[in-house]
Amino acid sequence: MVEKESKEIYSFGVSCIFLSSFLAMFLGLGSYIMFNLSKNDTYIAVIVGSVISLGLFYIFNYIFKNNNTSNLIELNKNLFGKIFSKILNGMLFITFFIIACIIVFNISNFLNIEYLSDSSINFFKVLVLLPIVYICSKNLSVIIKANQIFTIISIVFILIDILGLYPKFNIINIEPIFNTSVPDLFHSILIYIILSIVAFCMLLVTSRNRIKDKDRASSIIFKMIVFSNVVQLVIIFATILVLGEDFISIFRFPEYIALKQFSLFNLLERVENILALHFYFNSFYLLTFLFYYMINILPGKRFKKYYSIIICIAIYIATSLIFKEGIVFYEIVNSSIIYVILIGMLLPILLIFFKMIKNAKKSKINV
Amino acid sequence: MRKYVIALLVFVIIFNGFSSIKELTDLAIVKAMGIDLTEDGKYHISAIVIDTSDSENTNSGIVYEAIGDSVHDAARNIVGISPKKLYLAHMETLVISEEVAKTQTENVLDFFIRDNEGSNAFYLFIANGAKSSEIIDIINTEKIDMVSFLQATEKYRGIANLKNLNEIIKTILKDGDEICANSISIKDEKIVINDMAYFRDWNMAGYLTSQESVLYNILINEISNIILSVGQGDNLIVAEVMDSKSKISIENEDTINIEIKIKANLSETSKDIKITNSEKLEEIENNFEEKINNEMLVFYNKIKNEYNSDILGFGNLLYRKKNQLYTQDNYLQKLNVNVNTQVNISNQGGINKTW
Repeated sequence: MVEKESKEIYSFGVSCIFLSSFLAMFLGLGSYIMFNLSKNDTYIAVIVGSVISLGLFYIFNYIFKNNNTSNLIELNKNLFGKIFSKILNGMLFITFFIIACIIVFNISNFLNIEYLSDSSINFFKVLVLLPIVYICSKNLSVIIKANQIFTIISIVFILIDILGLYPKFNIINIEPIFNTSVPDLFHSILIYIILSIVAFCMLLVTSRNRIKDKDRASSIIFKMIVFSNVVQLVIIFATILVLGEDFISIFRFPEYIALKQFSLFNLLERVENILALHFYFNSFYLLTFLFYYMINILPGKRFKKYYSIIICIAIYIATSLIFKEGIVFYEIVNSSIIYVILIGMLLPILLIFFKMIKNAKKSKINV
Repeated sequence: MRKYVIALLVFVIIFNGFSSIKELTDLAIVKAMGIDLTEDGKYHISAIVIDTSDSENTNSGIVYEAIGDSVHDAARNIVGISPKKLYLAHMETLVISEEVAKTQTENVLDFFIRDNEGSNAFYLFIANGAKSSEIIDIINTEKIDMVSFLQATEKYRGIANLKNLNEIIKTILKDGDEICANSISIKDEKIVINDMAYFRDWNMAGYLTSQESVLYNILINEISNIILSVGQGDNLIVAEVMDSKSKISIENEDTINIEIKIKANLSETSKDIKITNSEKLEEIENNFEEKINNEMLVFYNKIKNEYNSDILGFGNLLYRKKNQLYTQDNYLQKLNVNVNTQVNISNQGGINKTW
């Protein structure tokens, strides 16, 4: 993954990273956990979570604006010296690896349950991982541009989804309002915020200096973050309005089950499999960015081109050993995802943020 | 790198484990299925499979029957008599016997909720006074299109509705709501769609009458062009419903309001009925309103005193509105129900009866 600095990256492309990563963290994962916690009040958790997660934008934007190196990993090295940066990058690597395992199993499980239930889940893992090995051989600008195209396709698909599901909306499905206990609602909000941190982190895959229209970058990214939260709210709200309180919590992939009722003007029906493709695309690009980070963290330039294959094999083995079944997967994810992201991702980001503030103050004093 | 990845992908696809692959010729596409219980408590399945060898396109099917310990087991045992595995994605009708409906509904429906092949958009029937296998046989020999039959019954008679299995399961899972399912019987070796069966806690508890089935469907907004009548003999007035909307809401802590708005066309009057002015028309509308109000109240009293099943979902309404009454036992007994029907006869058939 050798970078060619001449290739151009635009703000919109970078902002699309957020949307695809954000959506990928929710299908069958974030939304499943949230629906089980807050049922038909999940939209309230999304609204509150969106407002709070917008506050996180300040931290990430500060790092993004003041990052003159190539990405989060390089930034760590510049800020914290050899040893401490290795510890932080090691923490990030483990976190990225765990999230990649979760995403690979989640999308494989989705394909296994909903499409080809007689097949072994291991073959889906191979099919999900192999294209990533290929795309990792491309440079970042190509990945971002490809992601940009698929994000636009995703948005179109989501709009079609909503249009086709609109006749199935039943407003009484949001009742009873505020029926969830306060701890469960807070837990649900926390899950939403924590999962959005992954998407924020993916934004730091490139520095501001590499973006051609960098003056507009922060504003475009902010708009995309707001848009992503609105899209997520619409998806969650539509799922609740279609399935209702009792149905949303019994299915592993409630959004997909809602999509099964898609009917566009009574002409276009049973196209849920085509419309669900964007679930796969989003997961694919989130995995790609996770791989990009992991490859950058691993030392040694000579073997860099083999790293993606090694990580793939490691993910395949890890998911086979740890997530033996869907229930085990959800038990592990339910109990540990908050801590993994908090410790492995938010903590390094906060350390970087405070270190940058400290350095900025120091340089002011020196001036 | 690219060629290795492509080679690996090709390798995976060619030598893969996609055992889910299904050729059209290997599938026994099920059109309708019946489930009975045998004397020793096993499931007896009869399925109409589309005859793919039928070159004359006579819409015929083949009925396969098998017995098993579970629904899935019985369905798989059909492979013993047919070389193909049952494929349920295009199933239109599921008929379950009264015995199954009374004791095994939850177990049977669990199989269909889980099965990823189907969309669960098929219709559920209870075999009223007959075996499911007998009904399946007649559906096949008479080549009955059950979907059209049900649609016509729902539209013109109102004693059935078009709620598919997904919607039925959704209702069962709701707090404070029970379901009613369509029923089917055999009369003079012909299939007849009958009055609806009502359920209590997942299991069938009995049948509504024809009039109650119509009232039930009016209340759940599943009515199209049914016929209403008031009076009798030479004072009979008949109207065809064009549009019907009902709304159930809570007024006070313990009062439920039912508002029904019906738009109808006058379709038949007996010789003593002459509509000469708007007052007379209003009087007829009032007669219809009064009749429906009274019938609804009688129906509700029967639900709470005799059926003891919350098929109108009042409990769910209380639950949604966080009404404390829902937490009490026998909340149906403590509810007061007001019914307010508005009938608007907008069309009198384009004639002025002067004779």
